[in-house]
Amino acid sequence: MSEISAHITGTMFEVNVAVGDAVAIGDEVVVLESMKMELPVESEVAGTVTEVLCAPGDPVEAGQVLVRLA
Amino acid sequence: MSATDQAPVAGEVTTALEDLRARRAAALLGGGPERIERIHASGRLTARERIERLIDPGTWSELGMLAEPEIRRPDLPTTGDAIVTGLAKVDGRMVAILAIDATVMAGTTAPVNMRKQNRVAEWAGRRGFPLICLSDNDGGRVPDLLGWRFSGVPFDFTSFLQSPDGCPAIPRVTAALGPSYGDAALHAAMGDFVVMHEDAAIALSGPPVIRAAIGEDIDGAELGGPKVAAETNGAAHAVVETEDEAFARIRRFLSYLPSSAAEPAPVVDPVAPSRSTDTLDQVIPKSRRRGYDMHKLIEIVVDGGSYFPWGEQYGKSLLCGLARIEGHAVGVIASQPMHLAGALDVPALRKEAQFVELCDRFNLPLVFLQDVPGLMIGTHAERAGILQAYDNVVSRLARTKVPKIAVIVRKAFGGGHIALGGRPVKPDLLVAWPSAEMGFMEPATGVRTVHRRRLEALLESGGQEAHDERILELEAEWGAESQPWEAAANIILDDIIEPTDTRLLIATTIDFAWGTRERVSPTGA
Repeated sequence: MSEISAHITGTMFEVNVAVGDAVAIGDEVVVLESMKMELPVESEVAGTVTEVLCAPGDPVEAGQVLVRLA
Repeated sequence: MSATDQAPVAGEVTTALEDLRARRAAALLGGGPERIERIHASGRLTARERIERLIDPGTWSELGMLAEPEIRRPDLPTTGDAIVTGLAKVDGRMVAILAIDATVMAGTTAPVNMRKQNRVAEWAGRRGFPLICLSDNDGGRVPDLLGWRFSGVPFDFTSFLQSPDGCPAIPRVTAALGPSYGDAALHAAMGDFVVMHEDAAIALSGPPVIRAAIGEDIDGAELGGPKVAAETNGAAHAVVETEDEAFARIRRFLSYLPSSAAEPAPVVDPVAPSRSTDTLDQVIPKSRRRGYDMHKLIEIVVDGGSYFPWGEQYGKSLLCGLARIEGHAVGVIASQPMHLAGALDVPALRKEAQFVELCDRFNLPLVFLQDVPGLMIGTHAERAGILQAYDNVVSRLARTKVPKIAVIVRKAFGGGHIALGGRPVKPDLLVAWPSAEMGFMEPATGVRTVHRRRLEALLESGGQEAHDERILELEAEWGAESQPWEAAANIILDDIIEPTDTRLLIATTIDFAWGTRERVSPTGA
C-alpha cells in the first residue's frame, strides 16, 4: 500500500480520482492551491485508489496524506 | 606504504626497519579492534575504510601516519592523532583527503591533528587539486586545547579554509558521516559541496556543550540533523542513506569541476536529453495559475542524466544544480513553481548566491530558467533580511565573468526577474518564450496597488460586481503590457524563441559568450 501526501500547505482545489480508480506513475491525482497557484500532485507509484481523504475546499497541511493506493 | 603481514610487535623489535614496520602496523589499526567494532556497530565505517571506498585502488599516499598528540596517553591508542591524511586519485584526478578517525580519542581535534589537516589542505591549495574532508568527530580535545593552548592552535586560515595568496581556488568537498561538531562543522562551512549521512549532524557545538552553556536540552538530530542542515540552514547540499552513496556523490560532484579555478571545466561526450522536446506542451500548463515541476523542463534542456541537484531541500522555490549541455558543464538556476509559486525567499536567494559563487569560481556558465512571480514579500521575508539577500545575489551576479544565459519561460516579475539573469546583471543573452509575462509586479497585485483608492470608491458607489468587473478589465490591460513583444521591440529581450530551440540556443551561446578567451573566469584563478 502506498500514500500520496501534500508537499505544501494550502487548500484542496481539485480531486481527480475516486476509490477504485487505477492510477499510473505521473498521473495528476489532486491539485492543491497555495500562493494563488494551482499545484498538481502526481502519483509516484502505480496502483488502485483505496481511500480518498480530502475534498475540494479542504485546508491541507504539508505532509498530510491525501490518497491511499493499493 | 602498507605494512607487511609479518610486522613484529613492539618489544620484539630488533632493527630500526622493524621498528618502522611495527609503528606502521599499529597506525593502520587505529583505535584497535574493539573500537573499530563499536564504529561498525553504529553503522559507520572507519577513516581508512572510507578512504579505500572513495579513491582509485592503489593510489593512496599517506602523510603524517606516525603522528602522535602533544599530550600522550599511555593507556589509550593515540595513533595518527585521530586523523588520517594523504594524497590520492579519484577517477584519475589528484585529490587531498583528510579523514577523521573516530576510533582514536573519538576523533577529537588537537594541535598535531590540526597540523596534519592544514598540511594537506595547503598542499592541495598550492598545487591546485580538490580537498576532500571526511568528517566524523565530537569537536576539540581536552586538555589538549585548554586555556592558552586554544589561541595557539596551528590552523592557518589563509591556507586551510582557502587557497594561499596567489594560488587558484580549489574545489572543497565535505562528507559529514557522523556527528560533526567544532572544526568538523568548519569542514562543512567551507565546502563547495557538502553531503551528509542521514544519521549525521552538523553544528558548531554538540549537545553536551549546549546543555552546559545555555541549558538547552537537545539531541544531535534536532540540533543539526538533515532536517536542519539540509532544509533549514542549508549547511548540507545533499543527504544520503549510505556512506557509499556519499562517496558516489563526491565523485559525481567533482566530475563537473576543474581541479582548480585556473583550469577550464572538463568536457565530456554530449548525450541527448532524457526528455524529448515533444513533451514541452505537457510540461508548461496553459493556465498561468497552474504550477508544474521545473525538473521536467530541465530534463528537456540538459544532457540526459546529467542534472546533479545542489541544495535541493533548502530554498525550495529555486532549483540549483550542475548539469551538462552538449557535454559542457553548466550551472542551472531555475524557478520551481511547485514551491511558493517560484517566489524567491531568503533561503532561495542565499542558496543562489553561494551557487553563483561556485560556478563563477570554477568556470561553469550559468543557465537561468525563469518562471518567477517576484521576490517574497511580507513580514517574515523582511525580518529574515530579504533586502540584503537580494542585494548580495544581484551585485555578485553582475560581476560574474562566466557566460550567463537567461530564458524566460513564463513569469518574470520584479526583483525576482533580475535575480535570475535580468538585464541589470548583464546576461550575455536574455530571451523569452512567447508565453512570457514580464513586469514590475504581477497584474493581480499591480492593479490593486495602483488603483486602490479608485477601486475602493467604486466598491462603495457601484457595489461588488462593478468592482470585480473593473479589476478584470485592469488586469487585462496590465496583462497586455506584460507580453514580451514590446520587450523584444525595445531590445530588452534579445529575442523571443520557439521553446523547442532552447537547448540548441543555449549551447551555441555558451560558445559565443566565452568567445576566443580561455574558458577560465578570473574570479577564482
